[in-house]
Amino acid sequence: MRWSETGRWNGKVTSRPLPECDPSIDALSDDDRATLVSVWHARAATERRVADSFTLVSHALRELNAAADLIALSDRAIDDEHRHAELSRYVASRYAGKELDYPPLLPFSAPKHTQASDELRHTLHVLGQCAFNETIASAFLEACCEHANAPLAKAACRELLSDEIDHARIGWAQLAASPPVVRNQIVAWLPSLANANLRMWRESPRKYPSRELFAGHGAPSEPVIAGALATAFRELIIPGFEHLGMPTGALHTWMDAECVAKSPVKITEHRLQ
Amino acid sequence: MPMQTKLFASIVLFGSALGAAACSATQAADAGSTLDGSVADSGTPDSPATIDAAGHDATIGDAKIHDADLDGWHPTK
Repeated sequence: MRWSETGRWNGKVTSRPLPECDPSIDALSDDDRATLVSVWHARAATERRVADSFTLVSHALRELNAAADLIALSDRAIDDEHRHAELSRYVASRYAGKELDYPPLLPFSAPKHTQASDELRHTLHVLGQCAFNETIASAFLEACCEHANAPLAKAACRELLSDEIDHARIGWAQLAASPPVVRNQIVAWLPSLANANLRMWRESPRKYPSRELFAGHGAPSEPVIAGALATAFRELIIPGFEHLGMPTGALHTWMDAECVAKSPVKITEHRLQ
Repeated sequence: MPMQTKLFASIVLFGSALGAAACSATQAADAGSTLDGSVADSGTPDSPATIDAAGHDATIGDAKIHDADLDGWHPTK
């Protein structure tokens, strides 16, 4: 795995050097360190999968004849996600106290959206990844940053967030550039996209107990994650569609029925290898 | 300004402005317009809604929504 020398930080993994010393890591018990190795290693795997998803987004944007700037940003996002995988692997290695390999590749398959036209399917791929997943990721990482106090983890979360915001913008930019007739077609798909994305975030394995200690190292507690998901939909995604003049009655209804706040993210305690 | 409001501005407002600026003048005009009143919303806040236990299928008003064809796509972070 390699990221580009011409990427966002000219071949560097992060915008700023990461802390070389982090006494808070040294102070952890072996069990807690093992838990955090697992958290960050798992994050490396999902970041790598998102790189595959952005390959799909770039293809979709080209098929849609999107603006060159947006295509370039999406192409950069592929590279960004490879950097994120490396950053997460590096952080996991720091907790492990030794260099770790990359985790196995996670499967990725493009959403089929069988009832959509080719053009609409491309748009849905962009929205699903950017306006939904990356916007949710931004809310999640903002919560991570807020609760993290370990220097390395906090710096890493900040680096991830700065890119995810750019990635989320792609979706909102493409939507704003789409004519009303396209946005009209999208409206009926919004609850489905919302439902699928929320489910993916809820079902994403987070095999650690909810403890303030772990939140300090970039692994927020169950209630914090549930709150971030609710915030993403209530304060970012739904208002975002409303900002673009799209009806959101169904999304509001879905939110009330889905009970984002009532059904918290499941975090299972898991003994790590 | 609250943090989330800043995030909304950074993502949605900046992103949509980026999109409007990136498209042609004609497209930009379209992008800046709102959908007309003929757009039918598929639900209202008062519509009865249910979600199945697995969170896969939803019924909102008279509309059935399912995300089965999204199975296999699990990007997350």
